[in-house]
Amino acid sequence: MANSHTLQDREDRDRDDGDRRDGEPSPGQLGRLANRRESGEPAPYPARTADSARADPTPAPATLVHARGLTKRFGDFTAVDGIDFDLTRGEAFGFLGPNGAGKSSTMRMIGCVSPPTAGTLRILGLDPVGDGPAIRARLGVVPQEDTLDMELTVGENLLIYGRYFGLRRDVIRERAAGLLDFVQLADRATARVESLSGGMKRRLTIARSLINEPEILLLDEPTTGLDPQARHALWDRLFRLKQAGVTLILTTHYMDEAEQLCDRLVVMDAGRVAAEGCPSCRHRRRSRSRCGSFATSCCCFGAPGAARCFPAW
Amino acid sequence: MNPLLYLAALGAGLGSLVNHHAAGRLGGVSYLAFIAPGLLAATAMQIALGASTYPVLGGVKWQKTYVAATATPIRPADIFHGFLLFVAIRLTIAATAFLAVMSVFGVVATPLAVAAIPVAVLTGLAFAAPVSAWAVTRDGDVGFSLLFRLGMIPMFLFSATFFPLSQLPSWLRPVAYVTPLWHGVAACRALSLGDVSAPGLLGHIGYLAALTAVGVLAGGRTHRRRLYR
Repeated sequence: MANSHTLQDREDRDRDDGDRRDGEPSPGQLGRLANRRESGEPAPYPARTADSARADPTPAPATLVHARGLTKRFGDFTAVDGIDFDLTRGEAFGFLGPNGAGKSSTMRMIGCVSPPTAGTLRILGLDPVGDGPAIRARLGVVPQEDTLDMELTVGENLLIYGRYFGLRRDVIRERAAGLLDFVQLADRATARVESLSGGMKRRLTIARSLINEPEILLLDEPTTGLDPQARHALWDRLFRLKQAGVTLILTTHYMDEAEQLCDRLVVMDAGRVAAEGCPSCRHRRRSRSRCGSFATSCCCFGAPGAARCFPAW
Repeated sequence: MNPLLYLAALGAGLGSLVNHHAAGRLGGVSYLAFIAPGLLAATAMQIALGASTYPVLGGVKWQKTYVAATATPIRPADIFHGFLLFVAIRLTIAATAFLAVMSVFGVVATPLAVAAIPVAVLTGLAFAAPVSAWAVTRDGDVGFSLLFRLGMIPMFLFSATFFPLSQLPSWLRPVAYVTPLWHGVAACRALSLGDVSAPGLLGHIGYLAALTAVGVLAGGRTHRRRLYR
């Protein structure tokens, strides 16, 4: 499963549920789980999201994040230099760029833990400075560096984090069971986090970020530092979330990651948006020459036969 | 366990010598009864300083548990207040245990000594609040070892924990008067000896409460500045 690579492969696979391992929910299974929930049985997070999105009688605002001239300065240093973007519900949006491009600063501003120096930023229609806690209650955050509590077990990490959102213990316990299934850590619930591998910690961090059933999931370099197999396992989980209707914002400096997961992305460089578009046409809408290094390495990115350019996957 | 060792070694061991020679200078109580409340306050200080230095910086720099909590509806000031509550609970448990050991040694003069527990907790908080407010602003732990060497140890030794301040040279006494530990020691001692009318008891408590309040105010700001950058 983790070894299948192109989007096309994934689509083929998703049409055919036949060869799935036990415990891995397919979209079809998610649908069934959603139905099961209506009959009162617990269902894991993704099913619930898809379900509640459908059941929502009032259409939520389509623009979840709105940024104009968004700027972040630290003293004399300008980390983010007046960027514009909009994020609509249900899409997977990526910030692609090298280290120091301003991706993480942008993510921190969206995460309401870094007040913008200038510009407009609205998240879920709210003001990130004045309404930080209310916005954060509806966000899921997967930070660049793991911030798990190493001294606690997998299950305790989810419990504590869920309590930060004011969730009841029985609600957390029910959700944690589904989420640990979803990130394939169900058998590790009582293990101390210290004993987990890097990939497992990342997956636990993703499970933790979903405990509040967020409307937007922020992922800051979700697979940096993971081995190829762990990356693919993680992509697989994120792809499933996306299919279940979760809105994703992610940063990455990997082309392949952006192509795998993003519907739309911007290339950032030196705090500015250097290019934007969908992965397949991004190279045609280049607006600045500084992203040349990206563009040349991915000129056939997303085009038919793209897999030939990326034999590694 | 620690209080037991201290009380046995200093109170019973050293105390038997002191009692022979200088009983009068301790206000007519045994040396054990004199230092036990001092050690109670000093233990509260040690617990508070241990909790509010490395673990606090770890929360923002190493383990990043504070950073994780900041991604939730929790605000930086909530984290800080929660931390102080945790320290207060730890202090309450430790002070209660300490007082129980004191009563085993027979140096609790009156039921009123129970009031020394909240005062010891307040003594700890008078350290924990300002020190954690400062610790969260640090980028490294160099300042912490200086704080322990130049702050905690001298206070432990010279804040009337082991001998009355009258033994200090008169020019050094004002230094002791500004240290929070001296106020904590004096208040705990007055309560454990049943001397509620001791001069300045309310002043000691007020000083500790003021220091705690300053720390709480400052800590709300420093935590916000560190976590919302």
